[in-house]
This record gives sequence, C-alpha cells and structure tokens, in this order.
Amino acid sequence: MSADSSGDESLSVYGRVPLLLKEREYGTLTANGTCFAYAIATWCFLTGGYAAQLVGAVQGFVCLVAGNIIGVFLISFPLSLGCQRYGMEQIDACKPSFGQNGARFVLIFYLLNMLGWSGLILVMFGNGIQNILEAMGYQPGQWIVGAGVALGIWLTYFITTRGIHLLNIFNSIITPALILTVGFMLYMLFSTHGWEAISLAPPIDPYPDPAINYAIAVELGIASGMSWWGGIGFLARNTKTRRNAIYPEVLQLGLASGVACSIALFSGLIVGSEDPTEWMIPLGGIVFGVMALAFVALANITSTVVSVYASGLALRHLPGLQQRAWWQVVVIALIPLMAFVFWPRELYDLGDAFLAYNGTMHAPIGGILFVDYFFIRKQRINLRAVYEAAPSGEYYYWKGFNPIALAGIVLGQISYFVLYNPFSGATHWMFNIVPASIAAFVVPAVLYWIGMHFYGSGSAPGQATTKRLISPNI
Amino acid sequence: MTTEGRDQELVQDLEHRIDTLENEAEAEFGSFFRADYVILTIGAVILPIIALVLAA
Repeated sequence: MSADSSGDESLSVYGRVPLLLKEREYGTLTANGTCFAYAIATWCFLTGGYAAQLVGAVQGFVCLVAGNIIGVFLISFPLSLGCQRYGMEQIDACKPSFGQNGARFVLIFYLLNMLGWSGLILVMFGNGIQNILEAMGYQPGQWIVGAGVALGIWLTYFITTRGIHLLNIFNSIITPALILTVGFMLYMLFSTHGWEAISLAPPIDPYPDPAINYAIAVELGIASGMSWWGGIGFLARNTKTRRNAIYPEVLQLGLASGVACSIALFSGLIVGSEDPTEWMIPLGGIVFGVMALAFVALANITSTVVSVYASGLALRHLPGLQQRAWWQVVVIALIPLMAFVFWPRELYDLGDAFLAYNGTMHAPIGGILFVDYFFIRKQRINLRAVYEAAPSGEYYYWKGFNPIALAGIVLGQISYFVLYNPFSGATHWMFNIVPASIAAFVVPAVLYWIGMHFYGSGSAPGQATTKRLISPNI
Repeated sequence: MTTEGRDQELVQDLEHRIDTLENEAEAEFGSFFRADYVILTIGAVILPIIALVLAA
C-alpha cells in the first residue's frame, strides 16, 4: 500500500514522498491554469504600487514584465526540471547542493519569504477594511488596520486548519473574481483615462536621479520574479512532462504576472497612490469600487492561506515538528505575523525593501542550484541519497552541510548589498549596469562551480552510493 | 497500525518510488529538446534584456 493511498492524513500532510508520474495532476492546460491563478495574486498589486513610486508607465511596464520573466526563469529552470523529473519536494531538491542539514538553512529563507509576503498582504486586507468603512461614511481610526490584520490571521488559521478542500472552494470563487477585478481595472483605466494620460503620469515619489529609479525598478521586477521561488517545486513536481514544468512557469508566473503588476502600476500612477486599496473607488466609483475592494481584501486571505499552508509543510522538515498536530504547526507559522497587528503601517512601509530583499534571499540559492543541476550533476540526481540522512550518504558533506554552498549564500548576500542596500537606498555605481539580483545570482554560482570542481564530494553524477536506505529522512 | 509498522511501510513505499522514478527519469531523458533550451534562452533571457536596455 502506498503512502498516498493509505488515507493516513499525517502521511499526506507530510507530502514529501516523491510523486510517481501516474500520481501527478497537471497536464498542459491545468499546469497553465494553476500557474495563471497563482500569478494573478494580490502581491502583484503591491509590486506595481512600489514601482509606481519610481518610474512612469512605459519604463515600469518593461521593468516589471522583462524583469519578472528573467527572475522566474533563472530560479525556476533547474528547480522545475529537477522536481519534475524526480517528483521531489522543493527543499529536498536543495539537498544535493546544500547537504542534508544545509537544506534546512534554505528553509529559513523560504519561511522569511512566505511569512513576509503574508504579513504585507494581511496589512493590505486591514487597509481594505478601513477604506470600505470610509467609503460607507464611517471614520475609523488607524487601529482598524491592526484589528483587520488580527481578523485576517484568525481567518487564515480557520481555513488552513480545515485542510486543502476548503481552500480550494475559496480559491474557486476568489481567483475568477480577482481576474475580473484586474480586467475591470484595466477597462476603467483605458476607458476613463486612456493610454496618453497613463503614459504621461509622473512617478509618485521618485529619487532625484532617473537612472537610479530605473535601476531600482529593474531590480524590483527581477526580485519579484525570483520571489516565486517558494512555489516552483510544488507546481513542477505535479506536472507530467518537463515542458509542462517550465513553460507555464515562465509564461504565467513571469509574463502574466508581469502584466498584472503593470496594470497595478498604471492604477498607482493614475490615482497617485502606492496603496492598492486606495485605487478601486477612484477608478470604479463607490459601488463597483467597494465590490472590487471587497474581492481584493478576500483574495488577500486566500493568498495568505496558501503561504501559511506552504510554510506549515516546510516546517515539517524541522525535528520536533514532524509529529506535531497540524493546528500546532499552523499556530507556530502564524506567530511571527502578530508583529503586523501592532506595527502594520511601519512594517508595510518596509514592503519595497522587503521585495528587493527577496533577490538577496533567492538569487544566491538560484545560482547555486543552476550550476549544481546543469553543470555539476548533468541533470542526474541520486534520488536515494536525497532521502538518506546517514553520514555515509552522497549528499551529507560535512556534518550535513555543504560549506561551499553556504559560503556562496553569504557571498551572494554581500554582492547584493555592495551594489544596492534596499533598506538604506545606498547604491554602487555598478548598480546602474548590473542589477543586484543578477550579481547575487552569478557570483555564488561561479564560486560554487569552482569550489565543487576542486573540493566537492567527488561523486560522479548520479552515482549510487547505497543500494538501500540506511537512515531515511522522511 | 503501530508507529513502527507505519514507518516501515513508509520506507518500503519510498524505496519503491525511488526505484521507479530513477528508471522513469532515465527513460524520458530525451523528451526535452535542444530547441527548448534555445527557445527559453531567447524568450526568457535575451529578449527581456534587449527590452530593458532599450527602455533605459
């Protein structure tokens, strides 16, 4: 009896056993549909809003679309092909390069990304409640935003602990509504204002140097694409062919998401606000605006549920949490979000820096995985060694860590901050030529390739070091 | 079923999956063609870079 067919909930919740081809759900249509629904999410509004602070419509459109595509492609190419071929979960796919314990280090970035986005869109949910009440003639104080975040956390807990079925019901309503909302925004923008007004609208709050504004907008686009890192493996391991693993991700998470971000950018430029919850009523009037705002607010909850659900599954990798009840794992994932209840405005204002920081987190990991999968392993992974926790395993390295990969992450972070500090806004002159995310991708990749070439494990690609698992890590 | 029995079953299932997937992975190795690499490199790297340079 297979684990998945046993009906044992704890086994299916783990979700780490490699998926066989016959168990996978996504063909061409479903892979594109799922990626599209995932791509048109509320974080597009945030990214477009941040870009509207810096650049106009034409430059912003190019930065968001081209940057998204480059970012998605670089981080998803090795992951999607590897996860599709071997049916592995994402963190497991990091074990050949980072080591059995080193992959848990990657988990920290994964959780930071997921929970950071969740906090930001929960504040957007709180802002949405505030703006709906104001449109109805009430004047609630700023406290309503924090209270909205608290309500959002409770709703997230309620849905996440009731399983994937309830989430799917919510998604089947919210996703089409959100797509309609984006379409409605686009229609209102062009029918009411027209392209000329959109293209001539000035950025909301730019730096004095236009070149710096453009460079930061490029960085936002690439980092936005790279921030999909957390969802790549989940989508790819459920696909039946390699083409269905990579093309939908580039087309939907890259291209379609970039277009959705651009519609948000146009809205931000026309309304003159970076806050997506302030766009709907000026664009659509009271009735349609409040309806659209309500859809966006609810969509924030489903996006948060997806992130918290994925974070809970990721937390299952940690010792001590593998056997915990699911509701306890969800509570642990939600605790960091409480900070957004008390300081919603302060943390929301750090959102653009956080978005850029995604590049720091994911670019080095992406660069290392790229070199490891294509050039070191030649696309052949020892799948048994991925699930082998014994020190004799091929991917155990030094005490379960691959120091070369971990040094690569540190070097990638340094490279990023030398070129661009998203928190202080300080930039190096080379930032105008080389985006910080690209430097943080390439530098660790080169270091890793050289390091593994001379000091790596020495294992031949796909070499089977054991015939049977000694100490399975599942 | 005891925890030990369930763990043993899980490991056996994992071993079966690993063997199956490694065989399947080798069998479908040629399903991603050189043209796919070219299309992706041009569409997802070269063209976007050209667009970014032109818009600067």
